[in-house]
Amino acid sequence: MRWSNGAGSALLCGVVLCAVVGVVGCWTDPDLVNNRPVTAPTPGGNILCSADCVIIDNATPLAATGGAKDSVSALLRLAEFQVSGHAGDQIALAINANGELSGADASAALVIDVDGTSEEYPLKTLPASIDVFSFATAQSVGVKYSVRRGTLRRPAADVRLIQQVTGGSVTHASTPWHRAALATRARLCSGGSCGDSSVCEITAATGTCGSVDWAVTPFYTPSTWSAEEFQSDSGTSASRLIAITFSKPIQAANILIEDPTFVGNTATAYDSSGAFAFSDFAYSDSAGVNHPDSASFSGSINMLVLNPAHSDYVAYDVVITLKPRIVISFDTASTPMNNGIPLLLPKEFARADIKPTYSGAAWPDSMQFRIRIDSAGHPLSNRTIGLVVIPVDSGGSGSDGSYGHHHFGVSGGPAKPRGTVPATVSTGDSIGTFTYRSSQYSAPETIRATYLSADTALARLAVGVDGLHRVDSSSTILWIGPTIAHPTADSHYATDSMETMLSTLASSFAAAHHGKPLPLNDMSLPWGGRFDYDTAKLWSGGHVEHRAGRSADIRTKAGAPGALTYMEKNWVFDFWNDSLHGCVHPEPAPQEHWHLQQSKELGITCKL
Amino acid sequence: MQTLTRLFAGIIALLSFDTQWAEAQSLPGTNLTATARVRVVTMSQDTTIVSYSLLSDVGSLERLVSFKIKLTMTPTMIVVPSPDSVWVIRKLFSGITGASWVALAGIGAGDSTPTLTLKAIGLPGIATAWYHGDSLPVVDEDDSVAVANAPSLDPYADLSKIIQTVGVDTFPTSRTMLNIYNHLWVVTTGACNLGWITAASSWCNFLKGYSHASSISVLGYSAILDSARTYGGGSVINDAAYFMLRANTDYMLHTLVDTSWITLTYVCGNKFRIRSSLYASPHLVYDVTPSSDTTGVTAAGSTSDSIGYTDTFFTASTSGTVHLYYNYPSSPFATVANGAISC
Repeated sequence: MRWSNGAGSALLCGVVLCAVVGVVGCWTDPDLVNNRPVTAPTPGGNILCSADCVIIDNATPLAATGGAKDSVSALLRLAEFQVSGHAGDQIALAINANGELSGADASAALVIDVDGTSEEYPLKTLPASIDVFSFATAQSVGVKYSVRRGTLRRPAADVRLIQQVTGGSVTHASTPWHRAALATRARLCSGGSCGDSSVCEITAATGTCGSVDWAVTPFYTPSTWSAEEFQSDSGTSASRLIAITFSKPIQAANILIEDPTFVGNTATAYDSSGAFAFSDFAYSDSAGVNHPDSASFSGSINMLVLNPAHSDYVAYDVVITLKPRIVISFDTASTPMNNGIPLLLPKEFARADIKPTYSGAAWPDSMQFRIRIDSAGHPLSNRTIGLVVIPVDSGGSGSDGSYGHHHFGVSGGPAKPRGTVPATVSTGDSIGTFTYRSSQYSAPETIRATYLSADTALARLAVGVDGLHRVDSSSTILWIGPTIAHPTADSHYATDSMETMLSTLASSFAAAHHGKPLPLNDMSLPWGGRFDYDTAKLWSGGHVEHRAGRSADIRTKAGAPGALTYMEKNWVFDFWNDSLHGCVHPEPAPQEHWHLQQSKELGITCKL
Repeated sequence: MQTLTRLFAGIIALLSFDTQWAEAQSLPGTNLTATARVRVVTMSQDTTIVSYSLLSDVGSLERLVSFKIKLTMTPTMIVVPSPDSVWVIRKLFSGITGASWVALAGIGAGDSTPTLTLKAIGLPGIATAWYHGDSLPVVDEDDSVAVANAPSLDPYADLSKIIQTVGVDTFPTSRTMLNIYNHLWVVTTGACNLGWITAASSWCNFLKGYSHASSISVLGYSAILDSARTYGGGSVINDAAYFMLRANTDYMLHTLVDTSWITLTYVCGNKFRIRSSLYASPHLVYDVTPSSDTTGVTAAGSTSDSIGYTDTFFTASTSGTVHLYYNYPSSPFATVANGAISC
């Protein structure tokens, strides 16, 4: 697959790939920024210049004359031009070498051919300017610049050869070594300097581009080429296969191959299913003639394999483009956090006056997120992003277990409630916003945002009441109410002050009743929220209160083990109400018990 | 316990657990009637001692559980009734200072509590008290509708019965005869307003008139109070009023020492006169400077409202300036020089 020319390459490539391999959600966004050159050179030349034509602007091609297995004794072609002129017009070559070529071998020479007539100029004694051709009549001449190979110390990078045409015009030009015409590198980054950019150039054996790590095996940075290019081994002997792997799929890769001489240079792109795209590179078929070629892949690329032709020496320049990223953010200054994760209050507390507060205001049970799609550092506008809250319902074995719910829903009953978000959100001009609202249940929550083939974005948050502590079973506290769905170890959480009140009640009760422990039933779950204790109504029924660590049940049912007697109930009421300023109300049969509230302690009206 | 269970099951009409019960009953904790009997009110120096007993009416539907009196000071003592294992006493309850007795076993209909006694520094007065039964409002906390509709009920304002009974008032900042006498007028008026003294147009007017500061007549007031106590077979004034007013009166008659009502005058030679308008007969101390002698003397109290004072004479052992003390050796409240007049 070759460069077809122009900006449509990436799009075309993407469409074709989708059609061929059937990649669901394959990226077809026209705004996807592709940083590979849109004016890449092809053999035969497509870069026109007029008066001045840069042939080389660095030392790379001259250094390449150091010899290669596939190009021994062959001329290294630097450039070809077709120039039309009239009598009196001139063609000259300007040379700026700063003496860097004085170390060249005596046999190394610049060869200038004009319509089949060539002259050689030893590199080590090159003048500052050479008169190449003078037009005597109106005509068109072909001019070729080559270098005869020889031992050459790598010269400085500012060796410049410029063809200067006076009067005439260049009708055809091929300057394959003129790299300035290649990549527009302004948007490129490399390695760890990429930041939020999603385009990187492979410059090391291992590196990181955004959230993607790459590894190149084998990898060698040649002195022959520019610093952005690499090859399999040192020197210019036959190259070996190179594999480039990525820690997670990338969106696109652009590969430039240098000095492909023989047929058989290929590149293959792999996704999770295997090889899905293949490209064979053009070749010069002439030792010493560099016909760099490019290939471009789009898809969900896990690996690239660069396979050189047999006995051929090649080097590569690879630029990768990450998938567009969905970026979700929120205002951290106004968001309650817990261990770096936003912590929201479960909604619909039984009583608004017992809601925890944050910074003097009611703890929020909703929060607003910002969302955008980043493509190579640029936000995409008016895109519709899909949103969903991923349910965490592992029956308590997963991350939701720490929230006290060791259960699934009842068979045929409702699934675990989760927070809500809109089904979609638009990015608008650049950034969209959406609101998450919690459910009544404490839980870890994850919002998943998706957009075509862009990397899925996840926003994690927690829903619960912060700062609850377990009131442990002890010599003065008897845990009541063990269930598989809500084990007692998870059903006895309270606020600090409630914990103090209960501990005081329990120790005083035991002291006044011959050491009898206080039969303490449900309180709150570790992170509060609705306590669906009823095994027949999991995720639906349960306590209306008991959501903020400020309620506790005491066993009073006659005949139940440890239940309070009549006198003990009077004692508990007196102590809880008159000494600790709490509130008490009994609950009806068949599961009668006493419901203790921590109300007056908080300056709250004591309700039933 | 059976009664308790029935009450729990249907006590609130709002929740409609049992309309038959609900219609017939008041809020939980108030379905009983108790009479707070004041058994005795006395004062020991500046400490008031009040004893009560509560009789639960035979028609009470709940067992009496608690009796609480609000005071402006913390009691110095609350006597725990016997057996102490079934009583809880408290000097501070729900942020209120006073006296709280909780009968853990409850007091059944027709039964009476044992004597409940408190001591506190102050004058006998009229106080707010609460008693409540053994029932509490039932609400199904698992029923979101019931919880949302549950009213805010205060255990004192709503779930108890409020009464007025004898308590303890803080002493006036200055314990002068006028201030104490004014307190007597206040509690007398209060007792009348509460109906503790019947036949208000006669006995109340008598007592309020005698207790008015315009004519301090403690002996007269005391006599009227006793007359009221015996009149009509004791039906005119109840125990609470009589004991409370009697204790206030006795305090003025026997205990109150307002030194501004005592004067010291030189007579002749080394003879001096103490003239006291107090009803009490305080023990005083005088000394004569420059000697170091100190001598005790009892200043006889007034025995008549109309005469208004009683004179007590003493002769110092030496000639010099006489200082008279009430709480010796605190500062003397009267100092008189020897006039060196021959008798």
